[in-house]
Amino acid sequence: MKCSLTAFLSILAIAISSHARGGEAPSAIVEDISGAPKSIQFMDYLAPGRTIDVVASDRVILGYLRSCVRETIQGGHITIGLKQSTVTGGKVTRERVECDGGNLQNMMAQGSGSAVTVFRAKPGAKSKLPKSQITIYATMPFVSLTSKSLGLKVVRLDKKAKPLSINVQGSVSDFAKLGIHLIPGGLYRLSAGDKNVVFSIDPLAEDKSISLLQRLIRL
Amino acid sequence: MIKKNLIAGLLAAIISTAAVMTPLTERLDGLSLDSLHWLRQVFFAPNPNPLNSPTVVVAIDEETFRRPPFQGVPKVMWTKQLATIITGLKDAGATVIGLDLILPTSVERHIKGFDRDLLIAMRRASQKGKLVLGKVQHQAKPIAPHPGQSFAVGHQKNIRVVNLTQDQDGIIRRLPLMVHTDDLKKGTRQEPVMSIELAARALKARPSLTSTGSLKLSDKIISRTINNRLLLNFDAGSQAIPAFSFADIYACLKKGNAAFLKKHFENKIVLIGTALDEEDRRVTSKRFITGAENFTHAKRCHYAIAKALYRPELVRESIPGVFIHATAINNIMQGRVLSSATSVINGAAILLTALFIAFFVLNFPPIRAGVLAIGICLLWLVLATSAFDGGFAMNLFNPLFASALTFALLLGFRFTVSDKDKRYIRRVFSYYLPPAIIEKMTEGDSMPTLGGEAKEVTILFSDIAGFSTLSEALSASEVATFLNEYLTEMSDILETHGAFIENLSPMKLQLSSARRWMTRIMLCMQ
Repeated sequence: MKCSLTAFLSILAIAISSHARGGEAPSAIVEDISGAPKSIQFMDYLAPGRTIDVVASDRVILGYLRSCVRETIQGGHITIGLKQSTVTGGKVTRERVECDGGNLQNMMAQGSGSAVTVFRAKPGAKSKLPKSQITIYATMPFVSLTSKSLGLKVVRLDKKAKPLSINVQGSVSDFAKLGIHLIPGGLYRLSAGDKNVVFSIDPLAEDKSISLLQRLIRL
Repeated sequence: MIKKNLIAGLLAAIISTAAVMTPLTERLDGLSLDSLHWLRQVFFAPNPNPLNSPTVVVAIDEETFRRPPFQGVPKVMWTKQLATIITGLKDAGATVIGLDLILPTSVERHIKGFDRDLLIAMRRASQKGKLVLGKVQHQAKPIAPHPGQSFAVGHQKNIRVVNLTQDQDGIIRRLPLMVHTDDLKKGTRQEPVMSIELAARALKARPSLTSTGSLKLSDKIISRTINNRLLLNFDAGSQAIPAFSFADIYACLKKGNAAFLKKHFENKIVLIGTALDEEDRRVTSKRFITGAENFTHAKRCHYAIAKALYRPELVRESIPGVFIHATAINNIMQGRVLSSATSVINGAAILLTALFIAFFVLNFPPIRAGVLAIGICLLWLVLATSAFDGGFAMNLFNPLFASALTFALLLGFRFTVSDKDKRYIRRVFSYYLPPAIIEKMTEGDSMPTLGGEAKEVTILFSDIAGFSTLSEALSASEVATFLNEYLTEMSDILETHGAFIENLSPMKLQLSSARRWMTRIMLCMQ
């Protein structure tokens, strides 16, 4: 009993330290490998932003957990994304697969009962983080200031990250023009003088340009 | 009157049959099936050998939570042990493994690489067609294995539904054979539920449905499956399907006891699920024949049974859900699927029983008819139980209810219509005629009519010689006593010979029988 408790506490410590280090939720899994790519193993989970170099003779099959896209990649430099990879210098073919095995139709007629046990991770402790006031669906917000300010400060709240200081010319600041990309799923505090707002970037937010309204933050 | 009774009997039987076959009595169908399981156990006590069970269960039981390395560790972190067990069972020669557990989440976000062992074990087992994961759906979206596991097993070809059919009373008595699922390419597809998939893999057959909804495994139609339903045939007690403790099998694998594993799992369909006090317990048609809560007590490899955890006297109505799937698989593998009688057959049985009851009520006095009706009902119980033992489930209660209804209806009919005239005659003539004569009068179907009846009779006029002189010498009460004694004696003689006193003054005796008795009567009177 002592042994298993110690083991559990060790696992928990690793988990906490890993979480504190800012481990991203994995978005892909290595379904298959042919050849010997050094940085990944068969059935490894991969987080967004991770890069893999695969020699031309090697092949990697990746499965994307959220988008249910299956990629067969032959050689190249792979950057793991949220829904699919960015591959340079290699060949990639994609197909949709049924991650959940498909929805059942007409459930009540087919089987209204069931007999199974579901083991789920318990929800974590209640977050002490402030609640997001706005959700932005792009990684590059557009900030509109109601009063003149010389600078903006962007602080990530859910993880340790270097705060951003942005000089403002006029009453607007377009992060896209400044080339500033925030992280999908991140929680941030934006402040200018004595005004501030807590906002989050949607986990599925992408870098591509979307309408101004969808990335507007008024401060 | 015969015609009237015949119509009344037929009508009562038909009304009773129709009344018990309405949707209002649908719940009785379920109760009937549950009771037949119990009656079969009482009358025939089948006792199948667990060693012949094609399916075995590895169950996470209450002991597992108290054994290392599981004690105190959240269940989502048992994936390494689960990987060990899946690989161990596959290597021991299990035909196919079904996971009646769903792990929709993963600790991978917090502990990198923690689930890798499980994913590798799943990939290797599923590549050989030896692993099927479960998923369940009640709302719009299924609760499915974590997407990582789905990728590991190759998605829909190795993930099957564990839904069952729940009756109106919340009890599980049957399961669907195939379900319709969204398909990325075809829009919709038909796929078997987990237990059918496991049985099909064990038989190396492709499952499909016939036009009548019967299960077809390759070329073989599984008889008694119809309308895409399998009626579950449960064995009594908790030991009919061998079950092993998850913790014990894990310890066994760690110890490397390959002989034990091979002996118990080779060529078996293995279901991994839970046999716990609270989670995944279902009330089924086995509810009257469940046994003690000692599911995983049959065989142990490493740990002794933790007897302190169990109450031997505890018998519950519900059973762990994994045994429902195991029963379905065994029913198919052993050809023991139950068939349910069609409404035509059930209706015929109900009508026949009701007609018997109608005959008894209309032709016998109420008490005798009641005894005969009880006899018919008992005979029906025996017949229905025998049919169930042969795999044919008829509705047990509907004929009984129809019998009771027919009995009540026809008793009412007799009271208000059929026997009304007879009761009147009895009441009216009881002051004048002896009971035997009244009975004779009411025996026939036709009642006495006004205007009388022409009949040859014999009349005896009798007098007491010297009565006036005699009465003058006696007091009034002495005369009354004398007359009572005399008339009692005379009337007894007359009634013995079928005659009766019609009038006392002047005394006139009417004989209903032939003249031949006259001399004898007169001799007796002297």
